[in-house]
Amino acid sequence: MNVMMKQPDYEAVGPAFEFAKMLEQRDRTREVISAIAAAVRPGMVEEDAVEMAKGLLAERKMLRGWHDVYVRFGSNTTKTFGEASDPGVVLGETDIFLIDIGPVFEKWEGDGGDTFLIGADADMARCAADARAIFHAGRHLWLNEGLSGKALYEFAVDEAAKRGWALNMDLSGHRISDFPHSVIYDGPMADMDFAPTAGLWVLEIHIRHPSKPFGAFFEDMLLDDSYFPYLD
Amino acid sequence: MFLKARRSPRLKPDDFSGGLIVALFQAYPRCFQITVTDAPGAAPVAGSACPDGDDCVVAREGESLLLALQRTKAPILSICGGHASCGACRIEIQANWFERLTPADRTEANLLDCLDGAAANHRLACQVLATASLNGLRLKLAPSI
Repeated sequence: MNVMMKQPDYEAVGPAFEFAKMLEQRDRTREVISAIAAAVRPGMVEEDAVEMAKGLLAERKMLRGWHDVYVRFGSNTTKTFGEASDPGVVLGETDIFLIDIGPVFEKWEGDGGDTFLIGADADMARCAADARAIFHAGRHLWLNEGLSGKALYEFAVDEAAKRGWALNMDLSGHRISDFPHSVIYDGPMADMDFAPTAGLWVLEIHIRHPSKPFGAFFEDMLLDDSYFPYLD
Repeated sequence: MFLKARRSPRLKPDDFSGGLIVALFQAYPRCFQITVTDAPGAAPVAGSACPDGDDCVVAREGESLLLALQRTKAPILSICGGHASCGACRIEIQANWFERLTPADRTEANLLDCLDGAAANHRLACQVLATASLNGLRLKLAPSI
């Protein structure tokens, strides 16, 4: 954390920022994640899934992304952000895959991720569910106790370990805004010693099995419970 | 309570007064001319003026024009890190040079098509690799957003 920068500096927005537009883009992002997941089939090669995902984003005028499109299969779900996947991985009949996209619609950034299962491997199912559960447990602490970004990720590390996973701290939250947020602040939320303001930050949870070659990911904006109706 | 306690400061285009950030909002007016070298270690760190007044950029053979432009402190942005995702490193290739480039692949072409102000002579600097045949190529930077 830069000692010269204060919370308002980290949380500045650009000229096109509108909270309502950010929420609309969040909805578009979650919708296309679901559409991509629904089109993934066992036997598909990961590279083909990425192309398919780009096609679905293009149909929705969201091909531009502030980061690359990630659809990762099987052992590639352990890869950290930006790391190249091992080539040619085919999705099995019992398998796990994750999606991580950061699409820009007009002037507004989206960012979201989720993990999906093929078949019924109990460990994989628990991993996917725990990524989401740790996200919401951390979000509730932020919401109710005003946890800082740093404290939020300290909690996430401990919570992941309690559940038998290793948290990947290379993916430790970040700003989101009108495009491009990175000119304001492109570092991790985990470095912030203040409670992030709702709608300006993304919480991301990437956990890995301690010995098996798979992991799970969940990512969404930091918002209160009213924006997560599926929790009701 | 803290959720509603603050309003974020809103930056305006005027706040982005120079350096890389100006490239967000407007085309950089100067023209760059590429000199390709295969000499090991030959990579000047600062841009210098070419004889005809362009900003001279020395590119190592095989590297992207984005890397060469960044090294010479040209005001070019890359948000996605060279993955042909963000379109921020869009460049305008000057006449007679566009046809000499290896054509854009599908990913790059689709992204260029969807950006505001798309033009037939646009490319992404992250996707154009310097080759000897591009010695003398002239380009301008397009607005990043």
